[in-house]
Amino acid sequence: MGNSIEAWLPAAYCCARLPSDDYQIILAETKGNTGGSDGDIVAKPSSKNLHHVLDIAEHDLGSKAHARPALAASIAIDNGLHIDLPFGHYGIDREGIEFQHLWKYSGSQKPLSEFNLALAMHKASVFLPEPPKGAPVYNYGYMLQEEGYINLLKSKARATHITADNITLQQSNGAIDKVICDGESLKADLYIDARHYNYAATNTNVTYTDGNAWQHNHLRITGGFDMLDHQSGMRLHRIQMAMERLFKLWPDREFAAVEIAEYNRLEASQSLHINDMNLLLQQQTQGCSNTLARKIKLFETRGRIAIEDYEIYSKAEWIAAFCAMGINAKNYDRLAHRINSDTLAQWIEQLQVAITNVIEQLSDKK
Amino acid sequence: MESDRVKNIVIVGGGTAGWMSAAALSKLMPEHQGNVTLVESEEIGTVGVGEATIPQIATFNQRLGIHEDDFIRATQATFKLGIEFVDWAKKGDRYFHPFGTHGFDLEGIEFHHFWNKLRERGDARSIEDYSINAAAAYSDKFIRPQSEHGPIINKLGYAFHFDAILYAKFLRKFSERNGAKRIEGKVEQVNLRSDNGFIESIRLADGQVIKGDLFIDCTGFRGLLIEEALQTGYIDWSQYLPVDSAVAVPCEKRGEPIPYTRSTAREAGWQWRIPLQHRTGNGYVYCSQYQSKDEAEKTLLSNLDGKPLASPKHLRFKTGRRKKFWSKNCVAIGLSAGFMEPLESTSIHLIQSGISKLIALFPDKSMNPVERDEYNRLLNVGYAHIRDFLILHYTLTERDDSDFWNYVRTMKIPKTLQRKMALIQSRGRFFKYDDELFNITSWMAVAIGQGYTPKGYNPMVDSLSDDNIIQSLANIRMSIDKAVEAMPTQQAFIDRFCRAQDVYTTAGES
Repeated sequence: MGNSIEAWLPAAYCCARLPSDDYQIILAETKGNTGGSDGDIVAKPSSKNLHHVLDIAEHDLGSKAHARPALAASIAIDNGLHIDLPFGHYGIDREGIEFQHLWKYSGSQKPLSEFNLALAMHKASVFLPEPPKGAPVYNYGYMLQEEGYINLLKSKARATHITADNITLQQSNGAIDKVICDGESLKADLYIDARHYNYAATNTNVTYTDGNAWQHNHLRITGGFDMLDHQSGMRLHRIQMAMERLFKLWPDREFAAVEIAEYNRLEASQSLHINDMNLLLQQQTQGCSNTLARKIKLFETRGRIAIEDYEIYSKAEWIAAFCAMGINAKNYDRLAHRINSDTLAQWIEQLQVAITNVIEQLSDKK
Repeated sequence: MESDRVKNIVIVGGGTAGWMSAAALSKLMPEHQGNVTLVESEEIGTVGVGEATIPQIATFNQRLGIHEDDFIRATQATFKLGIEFVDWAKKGDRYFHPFGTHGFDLEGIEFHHFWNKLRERGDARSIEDYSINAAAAYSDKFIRPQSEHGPIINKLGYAFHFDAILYAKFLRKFSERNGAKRIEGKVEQVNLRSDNGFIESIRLADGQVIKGDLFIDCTGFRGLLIEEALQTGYIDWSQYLPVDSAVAVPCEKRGEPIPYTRSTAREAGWQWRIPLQHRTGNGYVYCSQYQSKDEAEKTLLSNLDGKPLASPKHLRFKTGRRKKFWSKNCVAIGLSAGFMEPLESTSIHLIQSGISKLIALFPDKSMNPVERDEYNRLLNVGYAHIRDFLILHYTLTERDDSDFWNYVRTMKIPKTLQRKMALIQSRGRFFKYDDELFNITSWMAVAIGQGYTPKGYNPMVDSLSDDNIIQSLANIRMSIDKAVEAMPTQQAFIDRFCRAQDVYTTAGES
């Protein structure tokens, strides 16, 4: 039940994973707003796994969803500013020491962002599918045209499709007994409710924190309530993760409580990490979660990133967010001193020149 | 600032933990950058803990640049493909916990679900039949996986059995070559700074005072620095893991070494058998509440393969961990950090984990509490995951033939483990934490091995026809059989690549 990517992606996913002779999938499409992303959505690099499952080839994404490769997610924050969360590493780690420490120790005058090839390419609007040998690594995602992408998902979802102005749920003992779609009764074993759980439908800035997304035979799917989710690529990622979790815990009609609890625990953990990033980007870190407080303190102290269980964002994304929010590392890993400072300074300069050369060469070919 | 940099690291205590720490830190910190000093006394014996390991040890050696065959020759090592558990579920029973994996995932669904479906349909084959490690282990075969060996042999995971005392000696040479300095001496006093309680120096029995910026406590159970000087406190887990004593003795080897550890459940604990190139290591870990020292020794000696090579050595311990692994300017590594019985050979891994996290969070002289807290948080999590996995072995027993087994069978277990077990039982669900050591193969091997077979399987399995599943699983078994048949015996492999010098006894044990 629902519309837009929130409904069509689960439908396509179920169709790809479930044999058609055993399972029937019905999509009750609600009318109304179908998006919330000004026509474009961000697909993180991890969406490649999703598209593999859905049997969507890259050329189909290009021709039908007007996909353009993306090397970072651009996020508008307050005061007209925006930040880019990169899909690639800052510099290159050396002798087991992360690059941000080497950069700080070297005293380089160039900003850290200039050592991220993905960011540099994103800013210069140039692209290479794979990083040149010896350059900082990255992976690419996509910018997708939402309407085209939904149509592509529809083509993969061999679901029985109905449309309804009005859907009501009838429950008994906490489980959904049936749904009434414009007066017509529908019964199913499992109900996936994707109504009203997207940003556009609610148009509020509240953050989604409900950890009990799955109750009895009723699973709620959301791409996130927050505009930041849409811009950071979390909208698609949340739905992808929800479907992967659901299939790892695929139920039978008994709906084992222990499995539902595990789904909700994992969902809550994911939401916590996403909320942490959103709060950081909204500069609402006063009284934030322990996990975010720990991350900020550890980064401020010496530029280290605390990685939690089931982490969602990469180290590079966290570094970009901290730097953009004016949270800077006061110090660096002292093991960086293992590397001779002159050698290091020379290497850092060469790395920056190499990145500049890549950008210039690609710009010339544009 | 340059003046804040940790330049003097003092490691107190030799043995496996001390020399592993010295090796890693001296490799990391060249002489011109600082000093790594290790203080140990020949008068104080080492426990020589952890003769059996898990596959992660290879990473530690690789990071140091140690060639695997050099390490094997130097430590009389053999290969370990897993652990055989005998009499754990009930007397007369056995199962194998393999490194590597069971079978292959099919259509994105974990292998054990397919196995369980066929089992429910009456197929009596064990999940072990789909483990190349188990098949190779029981055929005494071994080969080091290389990319050209193909997907089946590349599933072979391995670790080592080795002589921990020889490993410490090997690492001592390595560390000294990298500039670490060894001082012979017994610590008589630990001097604390009056302003902040940090350790300023240690004074040895000969009057020598050794100052340091960072102290690594590798003094074993005693915790000379972390506990006796800094009074960090200890969290006792003996309500979950009640064994508190061990008696160990090496014996002559009989025939070729087998490529796996054997753990045999006894009246009040369990006995290990670890085959090395030159001898066999044995020990009995037991609970003193249910069996006396003499009875335990008798049990061990009456269950040896060959003639004992030394007098039995007795140890006492309390399972648990320090409240803080890193306190002020002191980091406890090894037995001084905590103790968990060697049932799954995790002792050396915990040393390795402590060292790698210390390096990742390497401090300056201020010992910033943020980094210290993060270190302690990460280690706490790691210890708790391992604790839960060890408890699983006991809580799943059906044995009711002694007070010890009655206690562990009925004891309360942590909620974290309860949740994991409930998920396993409910159709074999498993979600690994990012930093959790043991994976789905390990959990399923022990759970299923002890009769805690999942009730049902992921219904997605039904998307493949029964014929298709039967054929896929038959192909896996056939591929395993063919691969194992082509492997050399472990002894042949050792003879060809990494045979140690013949010796009759091992230094430090007689």
